[in-house]
Amino acid sequence: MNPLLRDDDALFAALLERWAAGDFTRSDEETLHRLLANDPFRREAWKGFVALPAEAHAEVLERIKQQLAGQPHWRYTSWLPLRWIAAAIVLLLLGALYWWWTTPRINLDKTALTTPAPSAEEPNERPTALKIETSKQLSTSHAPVERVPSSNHVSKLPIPLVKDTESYALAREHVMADASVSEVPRETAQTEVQKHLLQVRTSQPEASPLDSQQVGGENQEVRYLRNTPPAFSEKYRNPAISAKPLDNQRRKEMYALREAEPRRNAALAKENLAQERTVVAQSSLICPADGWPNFIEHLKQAALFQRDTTPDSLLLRVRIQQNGFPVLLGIEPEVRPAERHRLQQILQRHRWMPADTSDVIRLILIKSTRGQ
Amino acid sequence: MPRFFRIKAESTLSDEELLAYYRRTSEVHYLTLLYERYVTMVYGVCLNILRDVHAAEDAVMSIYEELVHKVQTHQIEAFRGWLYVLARNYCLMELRRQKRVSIDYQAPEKMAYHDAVASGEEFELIQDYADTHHLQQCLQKLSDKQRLCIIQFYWENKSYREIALEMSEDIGKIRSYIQNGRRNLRLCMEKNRP
Repeated sequence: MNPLLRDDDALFAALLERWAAGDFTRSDEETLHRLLANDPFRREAWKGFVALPAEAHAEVLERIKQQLAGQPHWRYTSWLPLRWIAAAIVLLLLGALYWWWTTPRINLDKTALTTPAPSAEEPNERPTALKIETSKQLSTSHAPVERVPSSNHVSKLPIPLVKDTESYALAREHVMADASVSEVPRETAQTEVQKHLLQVRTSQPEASPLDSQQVGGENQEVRYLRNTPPAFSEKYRNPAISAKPLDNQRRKEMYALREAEPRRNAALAKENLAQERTVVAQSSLICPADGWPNFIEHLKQAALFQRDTTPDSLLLRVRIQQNGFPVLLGIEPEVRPAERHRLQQILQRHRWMPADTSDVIRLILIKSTRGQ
Repeated sequence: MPRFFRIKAESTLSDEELLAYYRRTSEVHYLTLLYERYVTMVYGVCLNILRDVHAAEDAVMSIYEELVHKVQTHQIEAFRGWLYVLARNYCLMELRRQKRVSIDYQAPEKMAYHDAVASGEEFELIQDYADTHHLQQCLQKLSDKQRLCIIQFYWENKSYREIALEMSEDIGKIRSYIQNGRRNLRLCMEKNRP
């Protein structure tokens, strides 16, 4: 800014204040009129003052200056970033809520494994007796599980092949499927399941195959059995063979199998999930416009009702609107909100007929394992 | 640093420097210093548009509050001109909001003040014709109070306050007498100009 202009402005303001206060003289007026030339800001300001000459401008100006001087020395902060941060937090919370609401959770509450805590005298050893309770599904599809004989004592901690709880459930199904295909007696299969569960539940540092082999015995054999495909495991389920020490050929086979294990486990788990439940849908009045098979296929693709606690059948009370759009009125028995939401989405992927009708769709969820 | 020295140093800063300080530190203190330089002129502009002392006072403070936010978000090349436009626009908007009369319209009772604004031209007239016969004739045509105020102010170099004390009148009335007398004098002299 031009310093002369600034000085003139200061002088002009001082003259205005003199005018307002009444100390204005003719010489002040001369100076003031000189300052008015070619400056619209000053000219309009002067015009404003002389428009109301009888008012007490000096008091008003004094009051304004007092108000300005009385302004606290606060720091101006723009609220815009804070608003964005608040919006982001709200969005994050909503997203987390949505994820929590829609993500299916594996319920392992019904599976209780109780292992006695290692005693102070035997810090590095597993307990001699294990008390294992299998899940509801296991107990209903197979013979009840009794206590594990003390001969199944595991002296060395096994390698946890599946560490997280979800994989744990899938692996359990895998072992059950293997057991059902083979000709091994039911009690033997149960024992294998129990051992597998024990192995999965125990998270310990991975031991080398050679270390494990030194432990020897039937438990070692079981640990390798769960890594083998059904056909291969048949051979090694023979107690006579499993009792023998491992030769080099078998060791190589086992190494190869262990390397291919993660991919094979994932494939088998997926296959088991897809085959675990067969869905049958029935309704006396209504049906999808594109037929039941498409609807059932969508249900299968959604992989709903894979939990152990899912009932054998569901009754869906549905109302078909005038435009064929279905409205899910209720489900009996109740299912989780996420499952209900997903089911409603699948229902609404189809147009239904006849329109303007209410009926009940019965979904029969047949539990099946591979080979059944 | 003691406040006395700090204020003295700040008072020497230019508009742009104060503006930069405020933008950098967001301390309203710098903006207040800057606004105080122009608050009288802003008040005058608001008076001219709103024609009401209290409305103008409110407008001056509202403009200051707007400045606090707008200075941070606007690119300002010359603060003085920018402030003039901002103040003018604010008062015009305020006038429109109050659904008052157009600013071009002047009430009849205020026409005297409106004409009296005419700047230094009439002042020159008084200077030029101070000793002429025409001026003496026109002065005689003014009312007593107007004539007395004009004479005391222009030829006796008295201030408004001194005239007010002498005439036992309010300062505002003295200003009005002088403005109206000056306007009437100009009109009279233009009519009688050879």
